[in-house]
Amino acid sequence: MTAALQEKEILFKSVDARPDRFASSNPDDFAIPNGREEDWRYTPLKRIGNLHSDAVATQDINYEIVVAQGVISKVLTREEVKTKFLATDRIGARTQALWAKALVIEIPKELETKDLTWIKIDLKPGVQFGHIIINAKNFSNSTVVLEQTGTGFAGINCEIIAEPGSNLDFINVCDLDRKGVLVSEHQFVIDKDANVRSLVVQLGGDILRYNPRAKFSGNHGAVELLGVYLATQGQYFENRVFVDHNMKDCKSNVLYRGGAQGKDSHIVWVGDVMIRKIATGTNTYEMNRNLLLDSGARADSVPNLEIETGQVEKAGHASVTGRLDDDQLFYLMSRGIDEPTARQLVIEGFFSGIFGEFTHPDLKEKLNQRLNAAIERGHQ
Amino acid sequence: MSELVIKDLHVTVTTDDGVKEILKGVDLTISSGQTHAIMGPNGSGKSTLAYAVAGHPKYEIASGTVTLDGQDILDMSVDERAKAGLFLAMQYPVEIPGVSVSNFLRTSITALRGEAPKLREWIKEMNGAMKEIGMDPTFSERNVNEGFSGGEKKRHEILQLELMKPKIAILDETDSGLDVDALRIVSEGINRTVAKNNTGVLLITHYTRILRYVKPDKVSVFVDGKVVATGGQELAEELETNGYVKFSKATVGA
Ligand SMILES: Nc1ncnc2c1ncn2[C@@H]1O[C@H](COP(=O)(O)OP(=O)(O)O)[C@@H](O)[C@H]1O
Ligand SMILES: [Mg+2]
Repeated sequence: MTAALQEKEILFKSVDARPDRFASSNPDDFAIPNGREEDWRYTPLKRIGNLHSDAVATQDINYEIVVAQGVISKVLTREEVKTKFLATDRIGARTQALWAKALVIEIPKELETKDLTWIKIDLKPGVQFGHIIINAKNFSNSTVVLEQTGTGFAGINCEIIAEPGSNLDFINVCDLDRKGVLVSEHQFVIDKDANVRSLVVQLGGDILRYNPRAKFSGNHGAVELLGVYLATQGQYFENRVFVDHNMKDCKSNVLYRGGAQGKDSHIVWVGDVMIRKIATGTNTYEMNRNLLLDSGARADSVPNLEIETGQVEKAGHASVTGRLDDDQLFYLMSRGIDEPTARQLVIEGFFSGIFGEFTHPDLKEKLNQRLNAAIERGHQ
Repeated sequence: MSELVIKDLHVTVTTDDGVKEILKGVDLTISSGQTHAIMGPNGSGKSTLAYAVAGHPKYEIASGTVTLDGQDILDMSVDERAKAGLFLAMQYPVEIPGVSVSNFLRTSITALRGEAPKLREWIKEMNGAMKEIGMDPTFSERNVNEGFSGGEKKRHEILQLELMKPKIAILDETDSGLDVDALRIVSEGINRTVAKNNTGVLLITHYTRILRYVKPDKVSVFVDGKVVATGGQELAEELETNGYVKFSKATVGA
């Protein structure tokens, strides 16, 4: 295990955060946000239990783990894990400074498994911080699910390291109780010929703020960052995605689909893709599609694409926010379908297919169940 | 024996320029087993009539009544009207991304019949109806109207008509955008429904072409938001020769 951790350390040497953005593991390097900063302009800071200022942990996080055969998992203390994780905002840095136990998952070299590795974190009332490291070794092929439920206030960061030739599916489910708050920064580092597909599913909680950042440590890597989020009455879900094309011939695909229904439901998506001068042959696409289900719902969507080289293979971005269409509802209702069922059909239709890429049948079924439960909650 | 009775119906829409009256006093009665053709120029308000009766939220009833077998349907929600036995085949059927035809039809039939049909019988019924209307069974796995050609959308509407077996059906320009073969197949579907289910049909059309296949019992001319003349098949023939000019003038003078 220690050998693996050492290697990880080396990997992270080549990794800094976005150069035009400050990154640090020291919370004091970041001023306490007041809500006027670009980064925090949407987040309701009053409701996050002082995670951004001075909240300290009231308990440790309990990681429940079921690993696929051959996959190694350990819960380690700060002394046992040396990570160079650099956060890009104050909550990320505070989380990094304050976690007591980290979960380290290692998918050994060349291990190929269809079984799921399932991490469950049930958050408790109070304040808690956590850190997860997922290391997919060379030519491994596996799926890791991170399921977060419960309540309270939590900061949980995650490092995902995909070594050369590895294939990793990573599903991040955030389905907290109505009052739960979860703020996460996830950093993906994709090495040569590695392929990471990740999906975040935000369905429950008072505030969810997710900040996934992907970069490459070798050429010909590929990353998919997918997201499904559905906020209902009063819920606030935010995604800030950053893909840094800092190597040649890499591919990224960012697709987020969000829905909001009910008074004061608010969804935010900010997607930044950066193609550096060195990153010739880049192929990237980012798309955010939102559906507002009534007049009380709000969506903000900001796609950014910055290109420093002329030699890209493909680069595109798009953002569409639509409202639930009267004509669609009318059509369904004119066939005898009552309004709640008609709305449900349209919403399910909007989200349909997003889980299609993840072929594991158990997983798909579970995700669909959770999504449908969230849609139904919205009608109550 | 069913009857849809429309009396002195006035309907408005709210636009950026204010409230606009589109239907200006429509009187019509549609009875079981009868086909009543409504013919009128573009923009005369035929679709507005269809939508208003079916309950589309954009159209406001200013005054008048619509009853089905004596029951006021204007008080009912859109789905309640459908459950009461009213069907509308739309001029422009709506696309519903991500919702399959089979899921849509099953949900609708379950709502209309009050219980889920037995799976095996239902698949047989659906496939049989699709075959009759010339829709490939693979359509059941496609999303509702998404990527359908104009003709496929119209077949899909008539497929629903045959499955839903309404008391009264309003067919809004079901004939437009169809080639001759498709027109014949769709017309046969309408005739089957009338014969089998004794459905009363309000057949809205702009052209006389469909009336060669679907024989109307009555023909009404619709101009500027109301019925201006009613007669038999011969009225359609007159329109075929002379167009709507005569009737339009009549309303200008009125
Ligand atoms: N939703 C609407 N908003 C504004 N105007 C409308 C609307 N629906 C119909 N109209 C207007 O009402 C008139 C009648 O339209 P319509 O009922 O579609 O006629 P038809 O079906 O006979 O061609 C037209 O002038 C049309 O522009
Ligand atoms: Mg029309």
